[in-house]
Amino acid sequence: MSCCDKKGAKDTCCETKHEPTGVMDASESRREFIWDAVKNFTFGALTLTAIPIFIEKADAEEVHTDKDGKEKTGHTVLFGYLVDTTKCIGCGGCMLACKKENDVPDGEFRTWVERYVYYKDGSVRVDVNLKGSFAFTELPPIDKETVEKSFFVPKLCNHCTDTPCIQVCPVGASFKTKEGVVLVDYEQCIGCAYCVQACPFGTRFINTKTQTADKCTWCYHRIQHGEKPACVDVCPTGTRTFGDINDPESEISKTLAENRIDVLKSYLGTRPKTRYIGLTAEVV
Amino acid sequence: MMPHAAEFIFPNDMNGVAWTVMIVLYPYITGLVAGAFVVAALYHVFNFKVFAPVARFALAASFSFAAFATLPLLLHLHQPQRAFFIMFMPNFTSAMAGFGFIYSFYLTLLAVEILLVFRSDIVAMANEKGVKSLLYKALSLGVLRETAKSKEIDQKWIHVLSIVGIPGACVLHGYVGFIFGGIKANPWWSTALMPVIFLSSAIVSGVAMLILLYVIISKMRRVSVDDECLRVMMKLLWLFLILAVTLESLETLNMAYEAGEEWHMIHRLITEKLRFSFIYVQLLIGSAIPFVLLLIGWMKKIGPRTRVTLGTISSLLVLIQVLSMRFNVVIGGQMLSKSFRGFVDYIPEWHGREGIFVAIGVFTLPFILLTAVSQILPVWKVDAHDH
Amino acid sequence: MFSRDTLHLWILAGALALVGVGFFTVRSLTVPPSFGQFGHYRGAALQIATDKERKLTTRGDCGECHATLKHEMGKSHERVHCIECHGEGKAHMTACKTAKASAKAGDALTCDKSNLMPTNIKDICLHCHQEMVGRAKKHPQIVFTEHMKDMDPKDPKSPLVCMECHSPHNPAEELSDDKEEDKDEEAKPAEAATPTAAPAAPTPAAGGAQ
Repeated sequence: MSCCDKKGAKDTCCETKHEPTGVMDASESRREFIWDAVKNFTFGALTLTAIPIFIEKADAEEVHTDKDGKEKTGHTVLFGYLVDTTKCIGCGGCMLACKKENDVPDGEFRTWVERYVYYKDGSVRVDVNLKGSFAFTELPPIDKETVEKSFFVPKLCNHCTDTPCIQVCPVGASFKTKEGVVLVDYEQCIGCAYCVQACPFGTRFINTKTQTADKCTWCYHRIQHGEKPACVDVCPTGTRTFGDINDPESEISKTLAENRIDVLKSYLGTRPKTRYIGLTAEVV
Repeated sequence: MMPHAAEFIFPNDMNGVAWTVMIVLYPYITGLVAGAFVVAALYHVFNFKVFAPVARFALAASFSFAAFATLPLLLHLHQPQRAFFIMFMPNFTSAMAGFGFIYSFYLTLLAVEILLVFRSDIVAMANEKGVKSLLYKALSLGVLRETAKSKEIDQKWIHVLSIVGIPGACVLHGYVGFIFGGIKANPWWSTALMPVIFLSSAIVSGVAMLILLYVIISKMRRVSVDDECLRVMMKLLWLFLILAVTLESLETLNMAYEAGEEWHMIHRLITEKLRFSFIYVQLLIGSAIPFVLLLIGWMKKIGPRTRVTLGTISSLLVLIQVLSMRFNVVIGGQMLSKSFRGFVDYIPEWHGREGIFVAIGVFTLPFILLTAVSQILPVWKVDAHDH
Repeated sequence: MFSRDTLHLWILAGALALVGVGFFTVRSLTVPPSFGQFGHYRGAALQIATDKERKLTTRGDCGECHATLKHEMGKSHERVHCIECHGEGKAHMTACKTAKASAKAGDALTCDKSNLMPTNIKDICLHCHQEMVGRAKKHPQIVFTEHMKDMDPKDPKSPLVCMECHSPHNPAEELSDDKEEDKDEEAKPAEAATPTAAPAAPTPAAGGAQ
């Protein structure tokens, strides 16, 4: 495709093209718009193959400096999330807390817990706790004698650094804050569901109440007030950790430094900021 | 193996697919726009004088389909009142953001070209008396006279617009393909071939629709079908059908041969979930049979009546092929849960905003408009200097 | 260039230009003022996301008054959020705030403590400690009937049966020395007295959200 896809070439090509613009005012954005429109028309057919040239890296945390954050902590805050799958007991408290905190409609999920069961015969079963509570025991029973190993994997929005969902949003209703949190503007979203298609992790959905795209926000309304996301707050085992990964003294930074860390579907190059301990090849 | 083994879809997939029958219809209609325009452009730009009998009609058909190409999208949007945001605040990293502009540009181009192609007739009817002439006065843009010079200038502009329209049609529809082809999360979509596949199948569907309408309307008007025109159209259809099916098969064959980690699920998708619509309809009924029928049909020794029959049947089958291809791409791709361990069920709804009844309704609108355009403008008139 | 022969084309061009002007006019009226403030999105959306109402009681909310209790929690349950067993306690918190506002210095606070003690403690325990495929071996888990085989509880049918041996705040310690009086129970006798009197059992946070 283009040099922008290669990590090595990034510094030489994309960075020079895209200078940090800082805060723009409305008239600037209008000029920006006209210029974008001109680009679009001029390059017409070329756009199909050359689109990556115009792709603005939506690295808010790299482009914008956080004045407030600097005053408070002396560095730019960049949030991260760590799931230690070895600790999860599949209680589902996180899912229910999330549902209550964020008013998520039934049958739609900002977070969920999967169970991977490896049988001695080599087969793998994956099921999911959709109710919290005893939902795993309500699923078809498993004879534990046949099981080789089994573990739980909580899932949520990966808050990718290179987000496919923001990339495809046609109206700028999906965006990334300076702290690296990927959010949806529910008053801007047209509900085209393109982001739902583009998310490789199945974490986006059309919320039937708001009729817009919806997803995990890492409880932005809590973390901005110094609280933890609801799922992290209620997790009884410390499976879920949240914090500032730019602060070397934070709990999450220390755990990240001490462990072997993996992300989901790393081959897609989205660079998730939700990271995992204890994944296997079967976890997607 | 346990009954639940391997079958697992992400919880948010349990509500079914996010893009429904409307998103199947949208590339289908857009394809008809691009395909019909190509026939008109072949006449105007590449001097395919043999298409003279359908050149004007092709333009009118292209416009009629274009006029309703966005309707399925509006019906699909969960916040349709914000549809214009896509042009007011376009995010150009999105393959969708340019659509509003490309579409508007193309619809304008079609409208202007129609006004110019039909200008002589419009001016003539505008100069007549009666209430009806008011419409033509409006269409003549208030200039009620034509000179040899102005006709010459108009011809030049028709030529220019047709030339611009060809890459325009390619962009319009290749672009639709890119909306799918650019989604790396979905292995059934993510291929650089997608825009080319969409473009070639668009031309296929447009030419097939023209053949079908030409034959049917000629029957209704009790005029004979121009045999040579039909023959060359069938030849053209045959050629693009080969191209389209080759590309469509190539995509799957390549995936099968490479047999990457996604192939396990794609194989099941094709042979289980899409068995009927992909293997039987898209490949056998919609491709193999028309391939043979068209091959026989465009041979010179076939009589005109047989040709009409073969053309009608094969065009109908090809139209079904392209519709099933759109379905297999749009719905098929979404059946593949991103967990790659199971399939999302698609149960089409009959009623409702995105139901099948509404879809059928939407698809009849272009034909109603085309009928109206045919009443207002002489779409079957052949340019004097060609016959 | 501009002649009577091209007049209709100029009119057409003029009409299209007018549409263009109309487009940019409507656009300038539609685009929110904060759009593009920080990037290609509505800057105001950040504030809206920040100001969203917090619903679930946080650990911080409980810690405001019960900071000392936090230290008395045993290591095994130190991460268990109060609301998992005690419910969200919204009424309790509101009552306390009102009481605090009206109380004078030195007065003992009396907060509404009804509905704070779970009646279905066995279910809450089993919620995490039921044996289940997938739970790590090091995580304490039981099959209830098997677990009770060698036990001699006073009231085997009671939903509070687990508490006969285990203190919910520090269950691991109680196992090793099950005769010792529970410190937490002593620390808050008023609360310990309420469970049977509670009219409606608070569901754990998990259950309450269903």
